[in-house]
Amino acid sequence: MNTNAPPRTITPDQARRRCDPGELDFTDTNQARELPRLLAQHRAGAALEFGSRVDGPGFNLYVLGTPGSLRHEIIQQFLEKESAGREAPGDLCYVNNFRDERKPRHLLLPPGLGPRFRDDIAGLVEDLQASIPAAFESESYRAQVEELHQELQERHKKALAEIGEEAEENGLTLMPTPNGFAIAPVRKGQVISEEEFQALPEETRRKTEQAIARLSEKLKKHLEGLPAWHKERRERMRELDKHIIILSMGGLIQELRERYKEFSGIVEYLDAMEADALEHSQQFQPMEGPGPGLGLLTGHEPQPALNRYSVNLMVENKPEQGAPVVYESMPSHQNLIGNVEHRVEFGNLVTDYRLIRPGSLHQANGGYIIVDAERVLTQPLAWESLKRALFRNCVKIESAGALLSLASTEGLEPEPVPLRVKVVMVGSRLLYYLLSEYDPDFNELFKVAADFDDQLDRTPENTALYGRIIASLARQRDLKPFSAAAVARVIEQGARYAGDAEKLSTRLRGLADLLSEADHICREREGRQVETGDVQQAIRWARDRHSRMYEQILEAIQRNDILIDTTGSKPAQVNGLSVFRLSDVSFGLPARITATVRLGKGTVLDIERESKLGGAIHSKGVMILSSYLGTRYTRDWPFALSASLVFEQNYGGVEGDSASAAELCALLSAIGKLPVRQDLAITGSVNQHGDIQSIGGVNEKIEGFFDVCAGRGLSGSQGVLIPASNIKHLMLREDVVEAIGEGRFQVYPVAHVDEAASLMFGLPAGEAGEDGEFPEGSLHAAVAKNLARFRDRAVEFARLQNPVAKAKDDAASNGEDS
Amino acid sequence: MSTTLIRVLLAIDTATPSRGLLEVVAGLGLGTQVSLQAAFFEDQALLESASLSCAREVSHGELVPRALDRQSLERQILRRRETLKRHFLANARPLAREHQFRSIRGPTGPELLREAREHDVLILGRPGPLTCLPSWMGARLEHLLQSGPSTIVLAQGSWSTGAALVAVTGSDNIGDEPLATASRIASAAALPLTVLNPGATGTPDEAVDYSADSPGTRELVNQLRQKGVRTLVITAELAARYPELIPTVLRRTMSSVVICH
Repeated sequence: MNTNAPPRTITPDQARRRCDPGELDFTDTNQARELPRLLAQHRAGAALEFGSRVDGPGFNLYVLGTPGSLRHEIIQQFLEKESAGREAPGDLCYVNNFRDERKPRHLLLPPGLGPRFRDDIAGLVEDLQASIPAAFESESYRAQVEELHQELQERHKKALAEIGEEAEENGLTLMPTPNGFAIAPVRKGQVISEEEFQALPEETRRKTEQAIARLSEKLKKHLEGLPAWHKERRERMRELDKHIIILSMGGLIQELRERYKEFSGIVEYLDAMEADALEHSQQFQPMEGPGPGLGLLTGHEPQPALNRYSVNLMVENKPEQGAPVVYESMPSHQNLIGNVEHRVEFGNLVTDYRLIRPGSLHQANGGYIIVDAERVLTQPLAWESLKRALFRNCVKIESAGALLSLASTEGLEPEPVPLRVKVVMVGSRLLYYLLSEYDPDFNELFKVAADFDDQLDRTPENTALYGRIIASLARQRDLKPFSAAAVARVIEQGARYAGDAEKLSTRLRGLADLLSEADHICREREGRQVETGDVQQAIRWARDRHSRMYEQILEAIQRNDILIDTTGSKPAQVNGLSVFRLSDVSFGLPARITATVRLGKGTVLDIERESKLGGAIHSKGVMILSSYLGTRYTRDWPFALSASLVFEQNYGGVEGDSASAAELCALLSAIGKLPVRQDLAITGSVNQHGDIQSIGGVNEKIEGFFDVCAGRGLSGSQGVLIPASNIKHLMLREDVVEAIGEGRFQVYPVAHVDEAASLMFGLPAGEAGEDGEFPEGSLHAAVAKNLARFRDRAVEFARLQNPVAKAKDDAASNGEDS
Repeated sequence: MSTTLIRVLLAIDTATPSRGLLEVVAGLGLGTQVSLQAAFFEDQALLESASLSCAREVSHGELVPRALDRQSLERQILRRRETLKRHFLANARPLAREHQFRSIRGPTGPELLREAREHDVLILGRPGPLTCLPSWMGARLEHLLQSGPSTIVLAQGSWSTGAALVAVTGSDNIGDEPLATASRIASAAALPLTVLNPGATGTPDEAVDYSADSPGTRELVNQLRQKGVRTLVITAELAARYPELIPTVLRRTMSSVVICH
C-alpha cells in the first residue's frame, strides 16, 4: 500500500448514487402494476406463508422487525388475501343454561345462521310475551284458578260448618280467636260462665267436656290437613299453568324444532327452553307492575321472565367472507378473552348471560388475530390469558378480579369456547429474543418467526420492486400520481433512510409520510402529478421542521460560542465529527478534539471517560490508540509520555469510536508538534494497525461539516476525510453533491492513518527503512523523534531519582575519564 | 249536589285479617262522600270463655287443643287491634272523607245492632280466605234485617275477584235501590251484571222460588257456582221472606251477599 500518496476526493457519483427513472417499469405511479402484496421481504414472506398455512399446536407467528416498516399493514393485507379462500368459521351464541344459570352455554352454528336463530328466538319470545300472559289472563284460566281456590275454600268452610253444627248440637259454640278457634258451652246463644258450668250436673259436665275434646280433636285434624290441601291446590295450579304454557308455546317451539332439526344444539336448547318454561310456569303470571315511575327508574322490561330465553349472538360470520382477520389494537385481558358486563339495579350490580361480551379471540376464532407484543406484555394479565387460551385451545371468560382473587362475589362462568386461531404477534427483535430466553412458554406457542428485514439490496430488480411499492402506497392513500422521476427521487431517499447507497430502507412509514407530504405540495401548486421538485421540497421541509436545535448549534459555531476552526493549521487540534440523534432525526456536527502530551508512563488519558462523559466504546478506541502508538513508534523502548484527549466544549456524552482517527491525529500532532489542517474534518475508527474502519452516520457527519464551512464560505480546500469503506454508504444531500462536483468541497476516502496524515499534516507519513528509521521530513519521523526525546528525559529522570545508580554512573564516567 | 255523607260501618272482629279489609268498602263504589267507621268488636263471649275451665282453643300454629288463657287472649286481641287500626288508618283516607277506628268491648250481638242502627251501610264479615261462620259476632241476621241499615254487606272470600254479579229481586216491582247498588258494584269491580227476578215477567227470569229447602234455592246456588258469582245483591224483602236463603248461599258458595232495603 502506498501510504504516502495523497488520497483523491470522491466524485459526485460516489457522493450520491442516483436512481435512474429508466430503472422503473412505469412512467407514473398510475401506470405501475399492482403489487400482489406490499411485501418485498422474501424471508419474512416465506415465514408468513408457512406460518399462516401450517396446522398444529403452537404454530403461531411472531413478526420481528423495526417499527415503521408498515408491518401491520403488510401482514393484514397478506392475511386478508390468505384468508379469503378459506372456509368461514361458524357463528357463536351464548344461551341460558337453565340447569345452572351461572354457567351459560354456547352454541356454535354454521356461518350466517346465528342472526337467523337469534331473530327466530326473539320472534318466539315476542309471541310468547303476548300469548302467555294473554292465556293467563283469559277468562278460562281465571275461571279454572277460581274454581281451584273456591274448591279449597269450600272444603275448608264445609269442614268448619260441620264442626260448628256438631258444636251447636252439643250446646257448644265455635268461635274464631286471633290465633285459631275456640270451643265453649253456650246457653241460649250465650257462653256460660264457669259458675254456671260448675252448677251443671256432673254427667252433663262430663258429656260437655267429652264433646269439647272430640270437637277439638276434629278441629285439630282439620287444621292439620290444611297445609296438605294448600299443597294439593298449588300442585293443581302448577299443572294448570303447565297446561296453559304448553298450549301457548308448544306449537311455536315445535315449528322451530322442525326448522332447526339438523342442528342438535339448537334442538337441545329448544327442549331445555320448553322444560324450563314448564318448570317455572309461575314466572309467566302477569306481574303487578312497579308503577310507571318505578318502571322508568328500573328500566324493567314488560316480561322479564321471557328474556331468559333470548339469544346472545356473540360472533357473526358470513359464509362468503372467508376466515376472519382481526387486529386487536388494545390487547388487554378483557379485550382478548371477552368479559361479562354488569348493570346497576337499585344500586346493585347484576348480570346474566345476555351481558357476556366477546373478546377479539372470539371474533378471530377460525382465522387470524394480530396483536402487538409490547401491548400484550404491558397489559395486566393479557399475556398470561393469551397463553392460557392457546394452551387450552379454548377461550374461557374470566374476570380479572377473579383471576387475581380480588372478587369473591358470585359471577357467571360461561362455557369455554373451543379455540382455533392463528395468533400473529408483531414486536421488536429485542422482545422476541427476551421472550425466547426468559419465557419457556413462548417458544412452544410461537414456533414461526417472520423476520422483517430493515433493508433491501439495491439491485435493479429490487429498485423496480421498490418503485412499485411506492406506487402502491401512493394509490392506497389516494395520492396524486408520482412521475417516474419523482419516484426515483423517493427511492434515493429510501437509500438515504437506509444510510447506504447500496440498500433501500424497508421502513415504509417514513416513505409513506414523504409521499403524502409531496402530494400535499403538489396539490398546493395545483400540479397534475407529483414531480421531483415536490419530493425534494418535502424532504427539505421535513428536515427543516426538525432542525431547530441543529441550526442553533450551527449558529453557535458561526458566532464562535463553540470554537471550530475551518481555516489554517493548528497543532494538537483536530476537527472530529459526531452525530446527534433527536427522535427520528439525526444530524452531524464537527467537534474540536485536542491533545496534550507530557512526560509520563505511556498512558493516554481519556478526559471524557474520567469525567464520566465518555462511554465504554469510546474508551476502548482511546486505548487502541495507545496500543497503536506504542507498537508503531516505541516497540523496543518505553513509551515515556502521558497524553490527554478531550472533546472540547462537549457537555453531553460521547460514545462510539468513530472519532478515534481524529483523536489519533490530535495525538500525533501533539507529540510531533506538527500543525493540523483546520479546513478538514476527519471521521473513522482506528484499529491497532492504523487501519481506518467504517463508521455510522457518514452522510450526516459530512453534511454537518459542510454546513459549518458553507456558513463561513466554502474555500475549496475544505472537506472531510472518511473511511474508504464508507464510500458505499454515501447518499449526500444535493447541495453537498453539487459542491463536490464543483470542487468547492472535498470528501476524501482514507483507508489508513498514513493516508490521512498526508492530508491532515501536509506531510508524507513516511515508511520505516530497514533500520527502522523513518525518513526525515515525514510525519512518523517527527513523532518518533519526539518520543525518543521523551524517552531520554525519562531515563535521565529515573537516574536522578535513584542515587545508587547515579553514583555508579558517576563512578563509571570518572573511571573512563581517568 | 248533596253533602249528606253515607255512613258506613265496617264491623271487624278479632279474627279479621288486615289484608283485604278495605277492599269491600272500595268494591261498593260508594264514592268519596262517605263517613267510614271501623268498629273492632272485642267479643265478651270469647273473653268469658277464656275463664271457662272446659273451653278449648286450637290454634293454627300449635294444632294442640289447649285451655284458653285470659291474659294471653287479651294480649292477642290487643295485637290484632293495633294491626287492624294501623292498616285501617293508613289506607282509609282515599275511600272516605271521614274515617275513624273504634274498639268496642261487650256482648257483640247487641253492640253490633246498636251500632248498625246509626249507619247506612253495614259491612260485616271477614274478607280473605277465612270463611264466614253462621254466627257473626253473635248477631242474628233477622235482627239486623229488621232494624239495621239500608244496606248490609255480608262479605266472604276475596272481594275483588269473581266473574259475575247477580242481583236478585223479589217481585215485579224491582225497585231502584237493589239495581242501583248492583250496578254500582258491578261498575266498580268491572263485573258483568245479571238480574234474576223470580216470579216476574218481562225481565230475565231464571229462578222461580227461593224458599229454604225448595229446589229454587238449590238452583240459585248452582247458578251462582256455575257463573263464578262472587257478589249476590238481594232485596231485604226476599231475605226476610226466606230466612235460610242467605245462610245457605254463604255456606255453599264463596259469594258475598249485599242486602238492600
